[in-house]
Amino acid sequence: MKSGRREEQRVTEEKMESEQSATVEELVEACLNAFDDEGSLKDASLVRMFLMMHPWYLPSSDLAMKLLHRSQGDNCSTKLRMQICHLVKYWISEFPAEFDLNPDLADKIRGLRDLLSQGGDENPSCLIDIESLPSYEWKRQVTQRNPSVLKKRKVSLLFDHLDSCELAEHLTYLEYKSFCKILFQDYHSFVMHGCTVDNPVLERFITLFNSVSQWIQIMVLSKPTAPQRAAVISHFIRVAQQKLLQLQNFNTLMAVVGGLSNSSIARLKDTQEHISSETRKAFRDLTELVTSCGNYSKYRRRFSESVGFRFPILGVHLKDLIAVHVALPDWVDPERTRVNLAKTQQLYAILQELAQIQATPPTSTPTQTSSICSRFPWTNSTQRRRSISCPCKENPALSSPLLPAPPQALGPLPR
Amino acid sequence: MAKQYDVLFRLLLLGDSGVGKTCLLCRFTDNEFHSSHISTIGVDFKMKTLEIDGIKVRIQIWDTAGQERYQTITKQYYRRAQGIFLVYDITSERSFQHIMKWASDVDEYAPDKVQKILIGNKSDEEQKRQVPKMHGDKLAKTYGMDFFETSACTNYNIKESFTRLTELVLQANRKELDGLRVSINEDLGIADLEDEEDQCESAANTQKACWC
Repeated sequence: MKSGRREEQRVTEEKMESEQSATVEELVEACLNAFDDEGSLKDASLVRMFLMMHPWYLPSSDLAMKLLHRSQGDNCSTKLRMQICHLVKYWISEFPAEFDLNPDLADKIRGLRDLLSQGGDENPSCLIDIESLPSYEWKRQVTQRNPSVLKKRKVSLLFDHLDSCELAEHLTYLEYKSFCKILFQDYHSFVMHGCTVDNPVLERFITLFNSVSQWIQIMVLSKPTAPQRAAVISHFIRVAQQKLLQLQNFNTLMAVVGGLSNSSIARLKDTQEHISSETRKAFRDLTELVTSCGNYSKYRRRFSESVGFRFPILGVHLKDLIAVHVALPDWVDPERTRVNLAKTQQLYAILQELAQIQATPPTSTPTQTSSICSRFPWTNSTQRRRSISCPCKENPALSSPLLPAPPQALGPLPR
Repeated sequence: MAKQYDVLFRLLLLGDSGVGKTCLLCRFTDNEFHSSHISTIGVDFKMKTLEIDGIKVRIQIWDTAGQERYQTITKQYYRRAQGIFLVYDITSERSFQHIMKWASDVDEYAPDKVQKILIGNKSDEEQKRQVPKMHGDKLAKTYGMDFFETSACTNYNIKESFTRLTELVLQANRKELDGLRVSINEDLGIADLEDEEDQCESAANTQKACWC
């Protein structure tokens, strides 16, 4: 019996490898068999991939039910029951958020644990603990500040007192913090809808990115003379070149370069002349680095070579997720029984990389973070509510309260 | 090495999320999809060669799906595009209304000579239609654009619309092309393309991603 199962497994694995497809049952079986008697995992790659990606093919609570049925089957050996417990334990430890945010799944897992403990086994069920999970609901809440307090407070948006290093660190802190709230669930929903629908966490992150770009434009355009505008532009180029690049924060780097290359600034010919050729060269190099040419090949190469803390241009990776999802079918057969593993692997590679980045925070965090960050214009609650409830999310112009006034409204155009 | 095409054009697909831009692209390029590219140069670097009036036209198509809400990112694409598909979904009135916004972005950021056509996608979903064909026709006329209803699902009008936009770009670039006929060596835009391909190849070499 035992060797029969092993033999079956070997055949399945070969088939999975050669055909790049497998049924959900085969995948579950392969994951269970990846655990030995002591519960250690020989090769975590398939197990991690399946546990992360299974919502593409079946709801998590269905997966829990499948495991429950396996454990209650007549031919369920003690070994198999142990493997089920180890798999569930691993699932909870690697993807705790799913259990906290999905009450149905948590219920099913509790049911499984209770059934297993009744079985009179040497209590493998004690391995399954979902009661001590951290609360993700709270962490993911989109915070709101009291608008009446904000109205009274006068704040400077110039940040003249910050040098370029500090500013870069603050921006990195803000954006990375927002990025870390994005979970698998949010990416999954984004890909399924093709856009953000009921997805406040991702929505907020993108709004933050756009706001940084717009804020930079406003900072430049709010200065009345060309030399002053040139000074602000040069300042932001320094922020980008000397610090964001060094921090490997490509996301904010893209927001800064995007803001500065907007036509509202790029067309200011007189202003450009007041920028030193060295600084202009630095800006050209940065633009070149994040250009969409060759589908961002320069950025991709640089990013793949970077080690330690690194912060990707999320927009590029979101685009990859959509492209893979649209281009490849979920199932390889019309009956929808065999999972397309090539697709699963491609999506997993992208999502796994993003998850790893969340687990590798920057080494330096800015001092005085809270007081300064709360001053950034886009962290005020009015805008937040507006950006989230905007009926016209697709239309960037309508959802961006920080957009500079159209040129004709500014009177004589700056040059 | 003999050149396999005479001229290169860059086309861009624009429109709201979910209107089916990536589907159109996949359909047109016959799902020619190199999965090995995904983790190295990304997925959407789509090329196809068409022959029009005896000229071999290589077209490179960019897709912005997934990035619609990143204004500064999408604007990057506009500047180098020679032809633009403005795509809406016939089952979504909202996506149709937003065409005006996309068109004004094109006016602001794309080169003056850029050619545009209007696409109403998902024509197979007749029962869910919210935008009458007439409205598409009318809008296209107002903007002086050609108009196609397409279906990536049934492959309806896909090749026709891509070919039409390519023809328009070709006509708009007649002058340069006449020069091209005289001296076939001075290929339009080809140097650029080769640069990009080089970059991609070396990117692929430096980062041979293996999931297993």
